[in-house]
Amino acid sequence: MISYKRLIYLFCVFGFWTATCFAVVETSDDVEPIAMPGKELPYLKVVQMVQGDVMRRQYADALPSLLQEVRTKTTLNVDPFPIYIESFEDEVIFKHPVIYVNFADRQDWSLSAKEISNLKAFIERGGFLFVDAGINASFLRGNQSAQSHSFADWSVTPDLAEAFKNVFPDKRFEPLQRSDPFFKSFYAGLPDASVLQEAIREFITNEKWPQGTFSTMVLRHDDRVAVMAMPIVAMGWGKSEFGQWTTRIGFRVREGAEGLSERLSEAAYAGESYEATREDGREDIIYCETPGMPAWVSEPDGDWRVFRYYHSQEISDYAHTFYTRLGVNLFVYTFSQ
Amino acid sequence: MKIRIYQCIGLWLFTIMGQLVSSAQVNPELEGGRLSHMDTIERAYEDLKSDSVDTRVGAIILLSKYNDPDAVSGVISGLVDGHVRVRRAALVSMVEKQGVISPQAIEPVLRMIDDEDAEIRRMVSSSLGMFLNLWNNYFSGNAFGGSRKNLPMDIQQKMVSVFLDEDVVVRRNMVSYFFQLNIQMPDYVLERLLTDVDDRVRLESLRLAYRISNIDTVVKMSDTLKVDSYQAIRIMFAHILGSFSGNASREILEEMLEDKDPEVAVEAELALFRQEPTLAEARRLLNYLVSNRFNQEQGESYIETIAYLRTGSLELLQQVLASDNTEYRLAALRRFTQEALLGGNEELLLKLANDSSNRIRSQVINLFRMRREEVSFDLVDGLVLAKYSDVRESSVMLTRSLEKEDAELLLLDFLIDEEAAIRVLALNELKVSEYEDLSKILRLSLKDADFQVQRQAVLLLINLNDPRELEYLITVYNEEPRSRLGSAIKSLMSRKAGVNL
Repeated sequence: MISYKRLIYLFCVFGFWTATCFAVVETSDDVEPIAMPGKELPYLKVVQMVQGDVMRRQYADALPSLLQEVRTKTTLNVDPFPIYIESFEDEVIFKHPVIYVNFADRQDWSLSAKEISNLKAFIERGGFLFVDAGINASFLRGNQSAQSHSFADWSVTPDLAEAFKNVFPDKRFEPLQRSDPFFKSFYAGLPDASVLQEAIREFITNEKWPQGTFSTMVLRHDDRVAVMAMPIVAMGWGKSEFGQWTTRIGFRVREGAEGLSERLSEAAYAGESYEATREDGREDIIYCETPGMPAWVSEPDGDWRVFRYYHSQEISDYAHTFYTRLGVNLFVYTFSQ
Repeated sequence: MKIRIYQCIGLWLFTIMGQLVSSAQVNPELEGGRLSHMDTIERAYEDLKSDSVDTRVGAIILLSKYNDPDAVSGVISGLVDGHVRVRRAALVSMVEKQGVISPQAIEPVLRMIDDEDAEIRRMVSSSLGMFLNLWNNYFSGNAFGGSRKNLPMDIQQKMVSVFLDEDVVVRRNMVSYFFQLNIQMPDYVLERLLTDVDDRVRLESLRLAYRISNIDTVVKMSDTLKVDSYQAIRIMFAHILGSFSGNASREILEEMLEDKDPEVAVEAELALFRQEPTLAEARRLLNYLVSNRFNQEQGESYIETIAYLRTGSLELLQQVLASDNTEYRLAALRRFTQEALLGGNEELLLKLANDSSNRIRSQVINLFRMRREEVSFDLVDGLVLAKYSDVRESSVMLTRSLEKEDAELLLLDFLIDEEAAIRVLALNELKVSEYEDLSKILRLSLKDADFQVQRQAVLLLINLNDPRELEYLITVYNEEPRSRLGSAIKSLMSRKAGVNL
């Protein structure tokens, strides 16, 4: 039998429902707080721009892992969880000094009029924008390889250069000198390379990442770095909840051997050839046998060398350590410049 | 006449020349004056015969860039070259190819595991996971016959010997990949590894010994293991001993109670308890849990053990559930999956259902689902007011196992939940229960603030197949035909009742 007491109660509450339209927001206190000893509530926030579905962003766990590392290793009281925006039209960018964007998280880099004015104002007010994978060697453009090959080109991808011509018509991206304080803002030099195989140690320390530097292009405003672009570095930041790296990274090493230069200069290749800019502005010509996978290179001094791909746990761990140190340098630099 | 003949010859020559030029343009392999693939590989093969090491290295590197079978064969031949640099170059090339190595190439690579060059041994041992996976993929047998092929005996023997390699990185790699090798480890090798100079090798070897249940060797090595300089090894040793009963292990554990490191001593104490759990000892050790003398792993091991006590486990687990450690609460809760619903302690159940950890809440919900027949009216009545919507949503279905009248009373309560999804669920359940005043409730729900609830009410009213309800819906539609509700009524009436408004 029906309980009329309950029914009356029900009718009363129904009245309340029909009279009031409200939304209840579930608080997120079921998320376990991360242990961060000795720090107050985070007050430094990083804004991340993702066009479209945030859940499908590139290297989803990368930035939170890096910011957690910054929080742990430095005095910066940074929040590990970024604030997501969909475009530079969002005025939340004026509340926080740093924006991170992975180039591939925005499909179309033609900026709207409001984005142009917002970005200009953001930079003029001291803001800093980091474009990860904003350097994309030509053989990587337009495919997913750009997210897994950190190729040291020394020019920003044309779409990005074009976009910033609209923001600052009289400014251009320029290489960041390897002697710039940026590369020493927290970590200086390379991690201990003794764990690496002899065959690659020399290349890493002398050519690939000398003194812990990296191919970096910057756009300056009032003599300060306002926009920075690098080949993809986020692939080296992500950690699982168990503290393990979530990606596996190999090394691409340039190698030569006696007589090899001559052989390569006449060797057949089934793929395409591309140009890549070196730090001094001269051009390398890259040849591919398999599309998107550089096989060898013709260097401006007349040498030809092969790209060799090395994989091991030690290499992967080393690369992660380096990219994370570079990332820590990035945020220490931007929050303290 | 002569002129005509010269003209013809000239024309013929011009035509031939034209054909020669055009045939050179269409040959894609000669583009840019380069060699063809075949010629490039042939030249590299010539270089492989050179006395110059550099030239052979260059040839291997060049061949590694091509996937043609001939090129791959050339690279494989470099794996057994007399010079270390050529072998290294060939090995790097094989590792570089990752998942596209042919089955024929795997054996020569694995045979390099005892190469005289330490760097080669490091490379092979660090890539063992990849090569063994490929081996198993190629030779794992299939449903139509065939059987799994073991590694050739000579490779197995090489693998065993390399566990005692002079290079520590090689030894670490070998211990890590032991289970993929599918080989037997002789006792003398295990004993040597358990006394290795490297902490990581000793630790991994002890773990390995435990996994292959070689407790005899572990006990035999007790004199060194119980005083090992590395704390983690002493803790693991005590833990392993706790998993095996026997006087020998008990005596060792009693000695370890005196360890200078409190964490090791506590592990020994816990291991003795795990060997022979008693209620009195469990009560005493509960204080260790409460006062954080156990580390996380020890605490969870303790909770696991008390669940096996014949009597008193419920009382102890209930105390653990009051802990402020989420992992402990979760571990204790998992113990109840085979037990009754916490002895009917509804107050505790409701507290857990309102736990701030969503892992605890989902565990409680699973427990309710599995023990649905034991869920009481009072418990669900409490869940109606649960703090988190995931719990309330799951609780709607729990009413199915209650008496009809009790279930309906609770469903009416769910019907006033702040979450629209829960109100929709409650409406559905009232329909399933054939609630007497369902039509009244549905008519009221047409005025709900949420459109999803309104739409579900329309659907259920149509499904009642009562002409009076259809009439009522038409009336509601006519009041506001252009409203969202009006559109829903029009659409659903057309699709479900064949009435076009």
